[in-house]
Amino acid sequence: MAAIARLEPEALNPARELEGFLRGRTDEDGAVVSFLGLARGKDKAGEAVDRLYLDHYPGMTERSLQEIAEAGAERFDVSNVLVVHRCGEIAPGEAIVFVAAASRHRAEAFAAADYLMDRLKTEAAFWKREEGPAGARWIEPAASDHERRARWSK
Amino acid sequence: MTIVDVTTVKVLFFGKVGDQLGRERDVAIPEGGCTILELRRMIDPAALAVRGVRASVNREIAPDDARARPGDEVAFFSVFSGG
Repeated sequence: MAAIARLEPEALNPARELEGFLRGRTDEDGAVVSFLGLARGKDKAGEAVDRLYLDHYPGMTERSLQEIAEAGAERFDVSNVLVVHRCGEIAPGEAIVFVAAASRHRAEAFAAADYLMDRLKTEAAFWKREEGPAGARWIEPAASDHERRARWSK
Repeated sequence: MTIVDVTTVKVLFFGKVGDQLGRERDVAIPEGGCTILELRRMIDPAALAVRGVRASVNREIAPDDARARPGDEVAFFSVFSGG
């Protein structure tokens, strides 16, 4: 069981991340689930977003990603998990986060990826600002994000 | 008059409080250090008393009664947005 988390200040290439993750598989693994999160071009109210800025605190942010990745690897019967998260300026359509989990059977890999994303969306040490024609706005997790996160505390 | 030796601590700000207070400041503190609550009052009671503005000392989340000492790195930040 291994958990790797990486903060990526440059463009995130999902194909390359998946390829690297698959290279680490063994014949014990029967499933790989991956998830890719993209920056949207509109906010919740439907207003245009020109770019997203993900502020981070060097050291603290990386540690929060690693803790979440390790918790996912411990909680589920998975052989590996990978979390790659962007920081800095992100344009609509660009990848923000890539998560992958490998396991013997698919259910555990699906669950691990779901869990990792729910925790990343609420607890990763980032500060997100949407910038558009109407100005800039700091974003906090949505109630639905907290509800999804709470499922794992039961 | 009491003379208190003074030194500084580096304080960083992230998220919305960073817009309000700037990215980084050196704040004068007594040589024996001070608490996070005292720092909040010294820097900007209004901006830093907002519910949800948390603090860290040397990148570890710190409660209001935690002490910042000379050479420490303190940060104040708004609620994490998540990724």
